[in-house]
Amino acid sequence: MKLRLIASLLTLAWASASLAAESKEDKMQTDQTQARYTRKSITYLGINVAGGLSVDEEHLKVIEEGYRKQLELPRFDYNAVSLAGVYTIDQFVELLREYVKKVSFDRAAAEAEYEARFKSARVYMKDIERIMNSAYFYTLNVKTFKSGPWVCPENQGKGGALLNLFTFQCVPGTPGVMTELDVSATFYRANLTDPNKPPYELIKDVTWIKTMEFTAIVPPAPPAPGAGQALLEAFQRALAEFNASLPQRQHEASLANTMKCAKNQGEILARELKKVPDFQLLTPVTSALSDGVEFMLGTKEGLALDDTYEVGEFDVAGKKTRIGFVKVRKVNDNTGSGEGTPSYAEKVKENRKFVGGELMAEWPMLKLDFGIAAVFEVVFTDLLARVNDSGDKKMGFYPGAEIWAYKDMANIFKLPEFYLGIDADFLLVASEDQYSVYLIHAMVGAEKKWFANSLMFTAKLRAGISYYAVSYESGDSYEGDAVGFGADLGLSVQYYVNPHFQPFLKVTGRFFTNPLDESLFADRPMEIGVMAALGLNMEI
Amino acid sequence: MKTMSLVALVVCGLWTVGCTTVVVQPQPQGPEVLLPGEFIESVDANTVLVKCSGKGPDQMAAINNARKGCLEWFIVNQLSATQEERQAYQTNQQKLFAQLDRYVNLPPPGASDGKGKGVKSQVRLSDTEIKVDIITDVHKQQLQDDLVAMGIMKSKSDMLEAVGMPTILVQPSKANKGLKARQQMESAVTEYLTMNKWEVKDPQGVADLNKMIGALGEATGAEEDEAAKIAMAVGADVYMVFEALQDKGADGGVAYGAMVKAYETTTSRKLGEKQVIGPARASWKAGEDMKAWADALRDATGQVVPQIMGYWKEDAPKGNRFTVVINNTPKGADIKVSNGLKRACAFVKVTLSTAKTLHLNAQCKGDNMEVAGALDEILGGLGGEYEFGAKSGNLLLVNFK
Repeated sequence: MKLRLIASLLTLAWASASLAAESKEDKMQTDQTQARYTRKSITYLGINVAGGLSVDEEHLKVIEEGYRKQLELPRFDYNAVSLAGVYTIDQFVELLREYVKKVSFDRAAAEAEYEARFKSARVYMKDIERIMNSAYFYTLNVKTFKSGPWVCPENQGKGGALLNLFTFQCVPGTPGVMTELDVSATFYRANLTDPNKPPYELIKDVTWIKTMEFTAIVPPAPPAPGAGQALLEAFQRALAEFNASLPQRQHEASLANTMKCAKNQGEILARELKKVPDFQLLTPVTSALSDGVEFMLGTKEGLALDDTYEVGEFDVAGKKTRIGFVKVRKVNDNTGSGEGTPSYAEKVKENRKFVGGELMAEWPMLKLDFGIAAVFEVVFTDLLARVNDSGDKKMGFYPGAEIWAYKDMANIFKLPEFYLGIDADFLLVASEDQYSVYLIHAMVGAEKKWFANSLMFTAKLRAGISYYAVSYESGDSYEGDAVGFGADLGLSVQYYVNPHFQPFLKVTGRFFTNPLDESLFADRPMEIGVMAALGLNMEI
Repeated sequence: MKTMSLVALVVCGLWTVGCTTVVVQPQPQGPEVLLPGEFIESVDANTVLVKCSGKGPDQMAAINNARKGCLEWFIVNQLSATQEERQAYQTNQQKLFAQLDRYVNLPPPGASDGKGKGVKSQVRLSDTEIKVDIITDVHKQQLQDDLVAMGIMKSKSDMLEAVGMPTILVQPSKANKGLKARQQMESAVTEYLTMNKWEVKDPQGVADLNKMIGALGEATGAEEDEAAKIAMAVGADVYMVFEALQDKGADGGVAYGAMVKAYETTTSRKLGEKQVIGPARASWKAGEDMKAWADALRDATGQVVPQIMGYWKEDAPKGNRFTVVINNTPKGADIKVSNGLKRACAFVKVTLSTAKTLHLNAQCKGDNMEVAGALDEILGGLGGEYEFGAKSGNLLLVNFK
C-alpha cells in the first residue's frame, strides 16, 4: 500500500514537473506573429525517370544541372550526398534512425561505426549532423521528355503562323529540333527519430506545365534558277557538308533546348517552391521608418532587389490581416541573429501605418510585367495627309490597343525598379477611301518605376519600328515601303492594387517616320503626336 | 485704412490663437501600472531571463513598456522582501525607469531563432495600441546594488550585520547519489550560490563527520534525513537537496527535470522547492546532455534562492536557531535543560525526549559559544560527566558518559 502511495506521489510530482517544463518551452518559443525563417539544409537524392520514358545519360545530366541550378536557392544549405546506387531513401533514413538511437548510448562507438557505413555514399559526419538537424530531401522526376527533328508547321493560317512565330520564333516550313520537357521536384521531410512514424513525409510535389523549345537548323538555300555551274557546285558541297554534320547539329540543338527548357521551367518551379510554408522567407519588421522598413534577411538568404514582401499583423484572436506590401531596395548582410546590417524595403502599399514588429512574408514572383491597354493616339497631322472641308490638313485620331512584356533588370543593373522589354501596339487609321490602314508599332523599351504609397509613377522610353498594313477593299495588297522608325517616351501613373495588378493611365509623346509609298501617298506626314492609354499592368 | 488695419489685427489675433495650441502632456498620477512578468531562467549569477508584456502605440513604445514591466516585476517579486521596500520602490519608480537601460536589456531585434531572447509575440489590440511579449535579460546584481545605493533596499552586508547570512550545504538526493555526473551537478549548484556570495559549506572539510552524524542518531525526523544530519554536523543553517532526472525521448532528444528543495537545518522546515524541466536538446550532439541538466539545475536553484532569502530576512532577526542533542541524558534532564535554556533563548522546544536522548530546538540571540556557555551551566547542575561533541554554527552536541 505504502509502495503504491509512493509510486502515485512520484508520478504526480513528475507530471507536474512535465507541465512546468512544457510551459517553459512554450514561453521561450516565438509564436507565429513573430515567426522567422530558419535556415534549412536540403539533401538532393537524385533524378527519377517516369516508367516507359527513355532519357540518355547526357540529356539526364543536362536536365539535372539545369533544374538544380534554379532550385537550389541560397536560403538552403546543401548536403553533398549522393545516394545513387547505394541507398534508397528508405534505407538511408533507416540508417540515420539507427545512428540517432545508437549515438545516444555510446557516441564514440556509434560515430566510428556509422562513419564507415555512410562513407560509401560520400556522407560525412558533419553532413549527418546537418541532415539530422533539418532533414529535408528532394528528388527530380522527369515526367515528359521528347526531343527530335521537327518542322515548323505550315497550313495553319495566319493565326497559327503568328502563334508559332511568337512561341517558337519559327517561320512555317523551317526545319529544326523541338524539345518537350516536364519535370517535377518532390520535397520530403525525413523523420529520423520517431520509429512509429513513416521514415519520411511528403512536403510538396512542385510542378508546372511542360515547356517546349525549338531551334531552327536551316539547310543551305539552293541558288536561283539559271545560276551558274560554280554556284550550283558550291551549293551541292554546302548541302553535303550540312547533311554530314546534321546528326551532330541536331544533337547539340537538342541538348541546348533541354537546358533552356530546364532553366525556364526550373525558374517557375523555384517560384512555386518559395510558396511552400517550410521554405518561405518570413521575418518581423525590426524598424518601421517613414518611407520603408528594416528587416533581418540578407545575402545569405538570397535576398534580391525588388523582391516583394507582404506585411501582415495579428489580432488577439490570432487572425492575420494584410496591412501592406514592401519591395526590397537595399540588400545587406544581416544574418538574422542581430549581426550585420539590416536590409531595407520601401513601402509600396500601406493600408495601416507600420509600427514595427509586423510579420513580413515573401511574395515570390518572376518579376515579369505584361499587360494590355486601350490606346488613343492623336497626331498633329493625319498620317494619310487627309484634309478637312476647308482644305486644311487635319489632325489624326486613331484608336487601338497595346500589349507588352517587361522583365525586371534591377539585379543586373543594380538599379531598383528598372525594366527592359518589348511593346507592340495596333492602331486603326480609319479611312473613308477604298482601303484601310492598320498601324503596328513594335518596340523595345526601358522603364523605371517610382512608388508613393499605392501609386506608381513610371517613365518608359521605347524605340522601334512602325508598320503600315494597308488593305484594299478589292483585295489587292500594298507592297510599298511599310516600315518606319521612331521612338516615344511615356509617363504613367499606376494604382498598386497588389503585387499582381496595377491599373494605369499613361500619356506618351511619339515621333515616328512615315514609310508610306511616295507614289501612292504624295504627302507623307511624320507620326508626331500624343498617345493616351488606359490599361492593366500585370506582374507574375 | 483704419478698417483694413483692424481686420488685419483681428485676423492676426485669430491666427495666433488658432494655431498656437499648447499640448499639455498629462502627468502620470502616481506610479505607472504595468503588466506582470514571468521568470524564465537564471542565465548566471548576475543575470536572469524574464518574460514580460507591454502595450504602446508602436513597437518601440510597447517594448519599453514591457521592459519597465520586467523591472518592476523583478524588484517586487524577486528582490524586495518587505512591504517597506516595495513602497520605497513605488516612490522611486520614475527614477529607476529613467535608467532602464542599466537594468533591463533591449531585446535583440526579431525573434532570435524562435527561442530565447527577443520579441516573442506582437498583436494589435485596437487602432492605436499594440501589445508585445518580450524575453530579455535583467541585470540582477546591477539592479540590486543600485537599489541599495538609493536606499530602497537593505544591502546584503547591512543584513549580514543585522541577522547574519545563512550558510548553505548542497547535497544530492538519495536517488542521485550514484550518478556519474553527481560531482559536476553539485558544482553547478554550488557555483551558482558562491557567485551570489552565499557561504557554502563543504562537508569534506569537517573532521569526524561520520562520527558526528552517528552521534545525532535517527531522530531528526527530516524528509532528507542524511542531508539534515550532515548540515547539522557542518553547521549549515540551510541545506539544499537537488535531484536531476533524465527523460530521453524516442525522438533522440534529451531533457532533464531538476528538483531543488531547501530546508532549515534545525527544524527541517521546507523553505522552498522548485521543479524545472529544461528544454529538450539533441542527444546526438556531444555536450548537449550536460548542458541539459546544468540548465535545469541552475534554473531551479535560481528560483529557490529568493524563497530562502525571503524566509531568512523575516526569521533571522529573531535569533540564531540551534539544535541541541544530548546523548545518555541523566534523569529529568529534559525539563531542566528546557527551562534553563528559556532564560537565554526566545524559543525552546523539546523535539525528542527518550530515556537516553534529548533533542531540542532553540532560537537564541547569542551565538553558538554563548548558548553553549548557557547550556554548560545548566548541564553542570545535572550531575554526571559530559563533554561537548560539537559546537558548530547551529548544533550543540553533548555526550554524557
